Amino acid sequence: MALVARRYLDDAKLFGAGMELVSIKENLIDQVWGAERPPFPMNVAIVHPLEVRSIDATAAPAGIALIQLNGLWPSMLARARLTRWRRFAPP
Amino acid sequence: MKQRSADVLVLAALDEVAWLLNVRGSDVDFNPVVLSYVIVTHDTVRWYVCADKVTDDVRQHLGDAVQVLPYEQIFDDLKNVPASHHVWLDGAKSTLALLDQIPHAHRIDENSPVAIPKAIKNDAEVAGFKECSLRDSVALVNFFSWLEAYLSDPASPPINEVQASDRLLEFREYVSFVRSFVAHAQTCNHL
Repeated sequence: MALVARRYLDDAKLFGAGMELVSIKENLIDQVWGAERPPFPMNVAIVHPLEVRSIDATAAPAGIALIQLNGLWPSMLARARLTRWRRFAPP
Repeated sequence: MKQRSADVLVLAALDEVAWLLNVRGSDVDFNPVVLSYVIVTHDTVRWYVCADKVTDDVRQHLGDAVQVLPYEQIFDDLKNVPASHHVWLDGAKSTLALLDQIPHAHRIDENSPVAIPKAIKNDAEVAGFKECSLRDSVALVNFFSWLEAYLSDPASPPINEVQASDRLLEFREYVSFVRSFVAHAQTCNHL
């Protein structure tokens, strides 16, 4: 990695003159972001529900959902929505 | 772990942590993971996570088998691992800061034992992947159909990449329960 960095450093078109390659192992995140660093995500964890399409995977075979989707969903609902989408006019 | 003569296993990959503990989160966009680490020994499992994220339901799910510890404490705990212990950590899925806590001579830098079992999907999961692909195909085909009709209409105002991407997102949201990723649209002159 250092060799690659050195190669780029030697490319004056990228870095210009007067730049120096330094070795640093400290956490750069705080130095780069400073006070603007986004807050640490604090979303709660959940226990993973073993479900397929909101159906308990242990109670109903997933194949039922596939048949329903393959037979009805795209052809009926998506086509109905397409009529409205065709009238879309971007801002 | 015994087969690999590992005394300590460190999981830093968030998807592996989620799989091992069977928990999910929303700390990272489009990824159902919790920012956390896990350390497994032969007789303990420690989950390093912000305590506020661990609800009563999750604590009940984990039971007494998993100790919940502060997120940052993993660095101190790794420093305190006896020098004679071998630590298993997949360097390709770890930060340098974590890797540096483990002496090189005592480091087992290989795929974690979670990786392969996690990759084996059951019938429900395979069906889920197929259904996701089917739903996304419906969204894409409808989007392409809409785009073709839109562009062929001389009265249509020009549309840019961001507007097209937003429109595709609407098509995807119509056939999906959650957002899986953001489309990256581009025209040929950006290649």
